[in-house]
Amino acid sequence: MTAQETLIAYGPTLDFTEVSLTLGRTTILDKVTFQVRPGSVHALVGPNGGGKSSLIKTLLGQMPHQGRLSLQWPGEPGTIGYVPQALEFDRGLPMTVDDFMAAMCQRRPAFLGLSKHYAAAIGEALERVGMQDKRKRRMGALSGGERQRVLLAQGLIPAPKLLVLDEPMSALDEAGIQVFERLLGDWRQSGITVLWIEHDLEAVGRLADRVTGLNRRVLFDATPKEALTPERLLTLFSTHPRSAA
Amino acid sequence: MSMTSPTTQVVRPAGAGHETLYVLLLCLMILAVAGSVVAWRGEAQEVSSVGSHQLDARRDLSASEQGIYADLRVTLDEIHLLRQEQQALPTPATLAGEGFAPFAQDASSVSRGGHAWQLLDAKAYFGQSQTPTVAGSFLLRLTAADDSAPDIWLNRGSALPAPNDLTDAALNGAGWQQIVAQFDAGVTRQHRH
Repeated sequence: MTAQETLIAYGPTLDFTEVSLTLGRTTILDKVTFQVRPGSVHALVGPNGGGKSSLIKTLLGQMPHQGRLSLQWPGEPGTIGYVPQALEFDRGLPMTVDDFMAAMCQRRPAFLGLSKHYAAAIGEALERVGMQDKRKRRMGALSGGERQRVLLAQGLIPAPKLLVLDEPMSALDEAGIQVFERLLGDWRQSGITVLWIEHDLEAVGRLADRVTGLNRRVLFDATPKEALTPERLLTLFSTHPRSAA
Repeated sequence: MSMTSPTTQVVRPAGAGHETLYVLLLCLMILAVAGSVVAWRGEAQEVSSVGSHQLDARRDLSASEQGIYADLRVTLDEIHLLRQEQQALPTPATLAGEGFAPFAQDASSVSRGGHAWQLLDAKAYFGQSQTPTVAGSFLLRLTAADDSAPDIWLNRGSALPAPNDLTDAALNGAGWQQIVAQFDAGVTRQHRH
């Protein structure tokens, strides 16, 4: 595994150094320091309101943080893919899966139809998440799991070097979870760095290379086997965050 | 895999700092562009002054005088046409018969001072006011050219004789003032001093 990693480390290293975030008087992140190794699947776990989504927004440059957050790319900076937790839109919106993909992926306005340049990539991405035969369906008519798959597909175009996933499995059905696990395997093989917020600790234990427990502060940063012990999880999910055990 | 040099990309904090700066810079740029357009396209306002021997048609006339002055300017065109047809200036009686104000004798001519019009030396019309407090006496000078500007004079003296000498100097000496119409800044925007 390590040999393979060094061989095809396409993804960037993420370096969080004393990253703090205060909005108003609320401290959301308090001197968060950890590293995401290139080409690894790094899970972020913690209670609700623990600052996981804020950390991701900080990484995407949308938060007024303090501290230093850097991405070390092995070459030219590549694409960062982002899959949000959920998509808010009107259920009656006459937007098909194709329209949505066009709006997300191409520069040409979506009402002018799929750009030829992206049509193949969009088809392939939808194929990978198993939504190829539902391309003409309205987004509002999809189930939560199907919509989540479309969001995953959108994160694949253009091919990212770093993928940021905000609870991608929460809405997925059984088939969708299999799709996601297959994708995770693909990303690992092609050396993409994956930062992944997840609530399902069983899935984290099974699929992640490394896991960081976040509740305002970093409470642990270790391999799943070391990290996911009952004692540590009790500390992590307790109401008042204590110092790292 | 070809090795390119590694790049470090630092995520900048979002919010106040640089975004405010960009907005301020944009504001400054808009101000600079607008300011230079104003400076480039702006024109100095020309305020021409009225001489002491002249009257401003917009400000220095009473309502009746303004009415007579405007009517004279309009009727001047008719006078020119009639002169072309007849090779002589029409008499005030002819003009009154045609119904041209201010020569016609009607209710408005009475209320405007009841001027008595006469032709002087076949080159000027003199309208003697019966009530100079309402409107002064008028003098309309004509030149040989048909397209010349109206040349109208006013004298508010009472029991005024018809002027003998129609030169500017002589008229000034006799207390006549020339009425001038100027088209500069709107009179409504000016303060009376």
